[in-house]
This record gives sequence, C-alpha cells and structure tokens, in this order.
Amino acid sequence: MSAGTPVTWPVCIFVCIFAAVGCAPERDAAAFQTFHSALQNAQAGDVTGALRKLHALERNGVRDADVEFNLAVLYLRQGERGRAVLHLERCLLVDPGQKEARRLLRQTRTLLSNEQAEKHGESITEDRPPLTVAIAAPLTEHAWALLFLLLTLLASGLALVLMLTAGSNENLRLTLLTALSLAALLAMVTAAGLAFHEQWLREGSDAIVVEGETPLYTRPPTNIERPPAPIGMLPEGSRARVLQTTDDGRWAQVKTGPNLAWAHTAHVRPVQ
Amino acid sequence: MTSAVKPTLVHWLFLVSVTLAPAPFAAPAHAQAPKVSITMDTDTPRVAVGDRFSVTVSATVRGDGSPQVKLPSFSPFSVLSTNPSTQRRMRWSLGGPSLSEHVARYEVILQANRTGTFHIPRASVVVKAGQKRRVYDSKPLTITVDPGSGNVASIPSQTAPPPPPNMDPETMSSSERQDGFLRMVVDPAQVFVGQQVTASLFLYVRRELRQAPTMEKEPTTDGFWVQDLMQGQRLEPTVQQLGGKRYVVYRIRHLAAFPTRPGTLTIGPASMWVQLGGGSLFGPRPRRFRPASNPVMVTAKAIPDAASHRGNVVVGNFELSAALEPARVQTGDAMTLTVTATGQGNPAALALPNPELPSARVLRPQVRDEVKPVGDRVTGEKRWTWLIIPQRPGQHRIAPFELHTFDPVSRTHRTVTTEPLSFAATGKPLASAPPDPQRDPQGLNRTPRALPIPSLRTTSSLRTGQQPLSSHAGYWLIWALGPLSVATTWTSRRIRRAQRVKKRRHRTAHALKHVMHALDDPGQTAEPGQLKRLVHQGLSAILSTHTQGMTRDELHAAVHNHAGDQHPAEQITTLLADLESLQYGGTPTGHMTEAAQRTKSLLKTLRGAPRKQPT
Repeated sequence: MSAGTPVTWPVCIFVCIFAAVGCAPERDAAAFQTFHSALQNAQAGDVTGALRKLHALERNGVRDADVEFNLAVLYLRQGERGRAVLHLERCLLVDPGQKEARRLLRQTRTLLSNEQAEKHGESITEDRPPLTVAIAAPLTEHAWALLFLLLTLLASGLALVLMLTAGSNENLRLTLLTALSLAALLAMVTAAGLAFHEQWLREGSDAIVVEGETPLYTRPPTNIERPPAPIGMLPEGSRARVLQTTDDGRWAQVKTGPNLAWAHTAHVRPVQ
Repeated sequence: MTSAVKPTLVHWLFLVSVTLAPAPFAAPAHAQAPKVSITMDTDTPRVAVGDRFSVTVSATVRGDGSPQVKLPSFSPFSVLSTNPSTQRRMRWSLGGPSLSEHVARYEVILQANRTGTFHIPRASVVVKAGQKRRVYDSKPLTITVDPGSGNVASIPSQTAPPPPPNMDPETMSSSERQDGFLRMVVDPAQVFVGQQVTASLFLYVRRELRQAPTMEKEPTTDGFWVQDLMQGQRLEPTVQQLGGKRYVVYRIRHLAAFPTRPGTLTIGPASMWVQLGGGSLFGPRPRRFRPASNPVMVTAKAIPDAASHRGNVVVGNFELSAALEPARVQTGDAMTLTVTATGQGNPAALALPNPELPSARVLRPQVRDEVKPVGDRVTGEKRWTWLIIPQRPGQHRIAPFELHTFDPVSRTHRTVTTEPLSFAATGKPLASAPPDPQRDPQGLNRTPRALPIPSLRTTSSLRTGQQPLSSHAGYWLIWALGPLSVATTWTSRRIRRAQRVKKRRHRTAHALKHVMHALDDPGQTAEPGQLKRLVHQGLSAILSTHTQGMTRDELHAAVHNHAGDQHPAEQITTLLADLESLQYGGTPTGHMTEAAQRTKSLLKTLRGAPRKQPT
C-alpha cells in the first residue's frame, strides 16, 4: 500500500459525498405557487385556507423550516398552541439554527405551563432540555452523519499513517497516536449524536401532544362514543413517546415517565 | 330324669331385652298429623305514595304433606316482583319416625300508588296429607299509605331470585336441566337517566359448588355507571325449587347501574366456567360446564323538566354543605373552600361550577368521590376542595352553591343550596391581580396573555424532505472504507512480517546445517582458527547479525539477549577464550575434538528446540 493512499481517499470521498448528497433538492414551481397562495390567504385572514395549503406542501414532500415556522405561526394565531409546538419542533429538526423558532417555542411552552399552573395549581416547565437533546439538537442529522463519516475516515487515515511510520521517530508516533485517540473519541461522540437523531437506541418515536387535556386510557377504547374513565391527562404541548399504534391507526401507546397508556393519535402527533 | 333350672337375674334381663327390642321396629307406622303455620308480615306497615315495601308470606309444614301457598290479591298496590323459595328438611332418629319440614316463602315487593288505608286479605296454604286436604289461613295485613314524602324506601336485599320466566323447565336444554344456568335480573327495568338499576347475576346449579366458579365474560354495561354492591362478599347458597327440581342458587354479581343516557340500554350476557362434582372420593366425577346469561334491556327515560335547570339535575336525594378555612387571610395566601354533597344516589354524577371570584385566583378543585353501598342502594359523598388565593384586600363573598335533584318515585324536583360564605383579605393588592372590574370595566389595563406572534415568512427555498444520509447504503459503504483499509493494511503487514520471519528462519537453519556439517568434519576443525570461524558463522546465523567483529562483551550481551539467560553467553565467551589459548599455546588433537563437540552443543542450545530440517 502506498503512502499516498490515506491522503487521496478522503479527497475522493468528499467529492463523492457532496456529489451524491449535498446537491440542492429539486424545486417545484407549483410548490412555490402554493406557498405564495397560502401567504395571500393568511394576509386575507383566511388562516384555515393557508393552513390547508401549507399542509398540502408537507404532504407533497416539502420539509422546509420556513414552511414549518409559518404553520406554527398560523396555529398560534388560531390559539392552537399544541400544534404550534409540534411545527416549531419540526422546524428546529430541519434547521436547528433557527433562533426565532427556538425563542418562539420557549415562549409557547412557558405560556402553556402558566396556563397549566393556573388550572391545576402546578405545572412542569421544560426550561432546560435533556442533556442528549442539548448535545444533539444544535446539528441536523445530515451534519452528524457527515461528521461521523469524516471523523471515522480521519481516524482510519491516522491509523494507517501510524502503521506505515512505525519505525520512524518517536515524537511523530506520539503525535499521531494522540491525534488518532482524539479523532476516535470525536467519532464516537458523533456516532452518539447520529444515533440520537435517528432514534436507533430508543424505543418508539418522539411526539407532541397537540390537544389540550388529552385523556389517557389503560387500553384502546373500543367505543370512542362511550370511552372508559381516563387514567390521566397529558397537557397540551408536552412531549410524549409513541411506542406503537393500533392496526387501524387510531390509538397510540405512549410512554409518559415510567407508565404506559393509550391516547388517540389525533391528539398525539409524531415530530418526525 | 329332668332337672328344673331356676332362672337367674341374667336370664330375666335377657328375656326382657329380647322381647322389648323389636318393639319400636314392629310398631305400625302411622301417619303423623302435620303441624302447619302460615304468617304474612311486612317490613313497614306505614309507607308513602311511591314507596316500595315488601310483604313476606311464610308457610311451614312439619310432618307429612306438601304446602301449596295461595297468595292474596295485593290490589291496589303494584306488584314489582315476587321471589318464591322453598326448603325441605328431613331428620331421622334411630328407632323413631322421620321428621320432615317443608318451608315455602314468598317475598313480594310492592309499590304504593295512592293514599289511604288498605287491607291485604289473608294468605292461605293448602296441605295434603294422605287423602285429607286442609286449608290454613294467615292473618290479614293493614297498610297505611301517606302522601308522598319524596324519600325512596329501602328495598330489602334479594336473597334469592325470582324463578326465571324465560327459563321454563319444559323449554330448558338438557344441559341446563342437568347442570344449571345463569340468569341476570334487573330491578326496575324502566328508569330515568341517573336512577339506580339493581342488577344481579344468579347461578342456578343442581348441586352445591365445591369450587369457586370462574368468570369467563363479565356482563357488558355500556351506557351505565356501575357500582359493585357485593364488595367482596362470599357466595352464599340458597335453595329454590324450579319445575319440581331442586336448584342451589348463588348470587355471582350484584351491581348498582346508573344509566348515563336515555334510550334502551342493554346489560350484556355473561358467561362463566362452573365445576360440579368432585371433592368426594365416592361422589360423581368432576365436570365443567359453561352457562351463559341472558342479555337484559333497561329503558332509560330523560328526566322531565331537566331543561329548566340547564340539564344539571341528578337523580337521588342529596344534601349540600360548604366550609371555608380560614375566614381571614393575607392577599397571596391560600384558603380552602370545601363543598360536600352527601346522600342517596350516584355521587359521580354530581357536578358543581367553580366559584366566581373576580378578585381572587381560584385553582382547579380536587374532587373526591366516596361510594357507600347500603343494602341494595348506593349512597355516598362527593367533596370539592378549591384553593382560593385572594389577590386584592377587602371583604369577598362566595355565592351559594346549588344542586338540583330529582326524585323518580314522586317525580318531583328539589333544589338544595349552601349558605353564602364570605372572607376578609388583608394586605396589599398583588402585582398579578386582575384589574378591578369596577375601575377598569373595558379591561384596558389587562395584561395580554397572548404571545407576541411573529409575522409569516414570505420566502422559502421549499426544500423537499430528504432521506436521512445514514439511510443510504452508499454512506455506509464509504464509511466502511476507512476501517476496512486499516484492517487490510494491518493484515497485509502482519502477513509480510510473518513471511520475513519464515525466510530468516530458513536461512538460519541452512547456515546452521552447514556449520554442523563442518563441525563433524575433523578436517575443518583441526585448527582453532577454523573452529573459531565456524563458531562465529553459527552465532551470526542464530543472532541474525555478524559477530565476527564484536568484542567479547558485545558478544556476551548479544547472546544473553537472544537466550534470555546468562549461562549460554558465558559458555560462548569461555569457548572462544579457550580456542584463543589453543590457537596460541599448541593444539592437541583431542582438545580440538572436544572443542568442536562443545561448539555443537552450544549452537544447538542457542538454536532452541530442534526444528525440522528443510528439505
């Protein structure tokens, strides 16, 4: 194996990755027309029409931070804060650098918590995200995947150089070994970030409660007209974890803390 | 010659016992005249219009003969249900006649419809003993009915169900005749929404159970709020004659069901696994069967004139009370308002609005229900506890709470209220206090609780959703290139290194073989100098380095490093020193042979274990 291999490979890989993945997605003129039509609806006060058109864009595969942000704004205008939280979460998932969306999400959550406190006497305010979210959220899934790839290739290249210069001077070997350890450690961190985004090691998927006072049941009610007494309520805008859904897709098993319960899927919507 | 034998006392006793012993058995069995008694009682001789009460007719026949009870006419009362039960007991005594006792008991639930004093005629029992037929009468009953009080009288608990009207023994299946059946009984079948329906599930079996039955399917109660009235009671058997056959009856479920909506509601069928027999070595073999009950319809009617009370009407009889603690607080401190509703009916159906206090924060109440079954009726208590935090100082008044109830028997509405409450708050008004509506009627100073909603974004790149990078197979292929190249390089280097070692070993073995051959040749070991050269050749092959130019110390160190032991190094240096002394001090032939042998031995030791010679 020649000594130039570790240098040439990453260059080739960069080229391949940016050629295959980094190209901008194709833009559809009809989608732009729908977007602007939704804006016109919103300016004319037709919030429902604007929501319908933006949701149509979502259904057609558009996954854009601006669309999600506009959906959140429109739902806030309608007073549906749970749905606004859902779309702000989606906006930040697509683009974690959206500061305005992050601020709006925090304000919406605070407002929901205040309302809960007024209703029930107490409420839990999520002022600080969990550690995993705090570490993984600032970067998108693509960024984590690219970092993981590059750091793995860097660590591999360093390992190759270390092997090829085994007999050379000790200082070089020590420097290479330190760089290799650091690259391997960073590769593991990025792997954890990627695993968090891809939800590899966690059961179920993240979801947001979009309706106020969502009832929870021990099992999916057979008759929605006369449901049994709920065992608890999920506050609007709170996080939940959907583990599974019924065959007809109407009921979702959600995990709230250590407990499992069933809620209507119309009330608990997945973030991804 | 005969000899007369005088009877002794023992003989006399024997004769008397032999003579008298068969007497009881030989006595003619004559029919005993039956002793008959019949009673007719009521639990309350004075009732109100709409009240329900029970009349019990009990006939007991001791001796031969079976009773046939004839119930009187209960007009003008309405007969709600009739629960007959019969028992027969037999007693045997050694040497005496058997004693049998028949008990026939009828429990009739009646409802008074109009005021007045009414006489219920005598009940009678006909007893047939042999060819004779005699009639015995009870005393008549007098019931006084007062105008309606609105109270619902308590109904005595059903200990045995009425015989199933739809379970005529003639139409029963063979399994039902042989084993038994399940039956659901409701009382009453027509109610108002929120009125209690008592539902009982009875199991009829031909023999007493030896093992608790297993419920397979509970009766469905869609449209009802249900309260269990059995509360963990044990299964108590009663005996009932049905179609001339004896059944042991168990009450399996006893429920108070409150319809939650008008219409025809159904209490669905139940089924269970029952095991009969067993428990005795000589009894019949145990056998399982699965009876299923009948579905029962209940008609629930809407409460009349409920609309005038905005629909918040509950069926039953409740009382309300309210308490506030403490009566004087600082602004910002919490006080507790407790409202308690107690009485007969479904406490879960009770609802009260939150108190409206414009100058205080009223938190969501803590609500507790406590249901207490009393006999067949459900009573209970519901308690609302609010935390009230005054925001402004002054005297505050809490409006009385109201509860609208409906009596289904008298069909009258009633409104119960609490006393008005007031409290005093001292201190300064809180910053978060709502504005005084008298000072700010239009709410201009009200803090906006809405978010500062940003404007919509007018531009967007409208990126389409992309598959996650890590979901592409190419991503993982590229990712795997790095670790794979490291692994490949490492493996190839290991292989090449192994090949180099193998070649070196081969060369060493070849050189050593040449040296060993030379050492065996006396012509090549005759001179000490020749032998010294052979020693260095052998050492150079083993140590993979030239030893010819090494000093003695360097050679010692090299051999020591190779062997890991000092002894071979010392032997080598001694050998070389000896060869030098031989070289310069004369060379006896025997010494050279010995030196060659020592050299061979030392080289073999240094080479390590004997290897397979390459071909």
